[in-house]
Amino acid sequence: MLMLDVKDVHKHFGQLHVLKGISLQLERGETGVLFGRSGSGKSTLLRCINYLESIDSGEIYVDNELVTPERAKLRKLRANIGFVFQQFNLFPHLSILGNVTLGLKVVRKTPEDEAREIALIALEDVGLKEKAENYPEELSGGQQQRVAIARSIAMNPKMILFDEPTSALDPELIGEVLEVMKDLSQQGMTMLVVSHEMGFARETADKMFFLHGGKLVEQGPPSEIFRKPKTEECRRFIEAIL
Amino acid sequence: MVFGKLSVADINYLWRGTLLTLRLCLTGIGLGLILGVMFGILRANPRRTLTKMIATVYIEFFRAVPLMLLFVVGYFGIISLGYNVSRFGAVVGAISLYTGAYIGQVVRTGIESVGRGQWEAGVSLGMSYPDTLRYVILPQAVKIMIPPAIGIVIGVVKGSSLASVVGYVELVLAGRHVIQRTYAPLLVMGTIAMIYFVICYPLSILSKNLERKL
Repeated sequence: MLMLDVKDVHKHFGQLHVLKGISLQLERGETGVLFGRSGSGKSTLLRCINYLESIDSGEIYVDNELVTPERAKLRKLRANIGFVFQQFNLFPHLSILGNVTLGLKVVRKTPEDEAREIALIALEDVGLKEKAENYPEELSGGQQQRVAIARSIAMNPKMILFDEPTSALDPELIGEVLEVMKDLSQQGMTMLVVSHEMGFARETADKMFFLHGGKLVEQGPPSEIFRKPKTEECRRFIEAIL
Repeated sequence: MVFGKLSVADINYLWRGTLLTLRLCLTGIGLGLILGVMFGILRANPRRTLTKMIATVYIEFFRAVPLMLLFVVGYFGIISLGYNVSRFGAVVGAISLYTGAYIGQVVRTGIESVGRGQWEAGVSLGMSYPDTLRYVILPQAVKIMIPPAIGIVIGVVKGSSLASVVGYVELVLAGRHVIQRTYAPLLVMGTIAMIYFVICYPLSILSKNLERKL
């Protein structure tokens, strides 16, 4: 069962052709890792999937629903796709509980008590139930990112997109976030992750996608990508970051 | 009984002027705040909509026109067109439109100062633009808006004295009438200055407190 189907997507920023006909697929329950040099288009592609960026041509389907700019459909689609940002983007004026319940209350119209219960379960999943009453600024970067993940989980999404979730973190905080993501992956969440954490990719990814110059140059399971990359660019990139 | 050169009747007259100033400011600024929030939100819309254009024209126009001119046009101008308008209605209208333009600009910059990441986090949850504005952006923007907004309110309270040009007997005009009777300009104007201070200073304090609290 296909969860994500990206078909020949093109995207320009002004003159710059950032995505040059990308096609890729992810089955339900799979974890994909998108990697490549900065400027290769990986974050842009991820942002196109829930239409934080528009696309110029091509089609994207999430669980057989076309991603369109039409507002009502787009809202419904976004509610079903989690998005975890590099900079966390927690809501600083709301408590941790408030952060995790907001989408439930406003979008899903979940009653207060029920939203609270769901949020506490999501926070427990990321190991931060005891921080429910704290505010984002009182948490470490790693904890904030775990709250951001809980905020996505609480919406019971079909898929979660991660945009370099650990690159804004101090090295000692990266592990706790990757651990949570690994758990999620093992529980069967469909995930697409932009990341250079090759250890995580090796252990967790079902598929890896190497982007280079706006093109999907190589894809395959980590065993293939790491052992015998087909292209010169991919081999060099992996050697450089390992 | 006489306070220096001021009789009880003079004091009462000044008191009435004070009340008229307060009434004018409370009504005018109250309406102005509503206009400002409305037009500020419309102008902050990233899409190029008709309402955004209207808001932009409104804000830019009324920020560029002197308040005194608005009083004169609002009262004498409208009367010269043959319509009947009360002094109070004209000056309240002028103050509302003037305050609304300035507050609108503050609201707009406040909204725009909240980072793009907050919008993206909101809409990524499936929230609409108005919901994101209401639950994510405005609560954060209010903090940024309060100090300049209160500065504007203080400016308008003082500017309301210009309503005297159309014969609205607010505090300053009341003072001039009293001076004509008593020939005590320093005493009367000093008293009036104190009254303005008593109205405006608490607003400054309020601004500081709110800033700290939020």
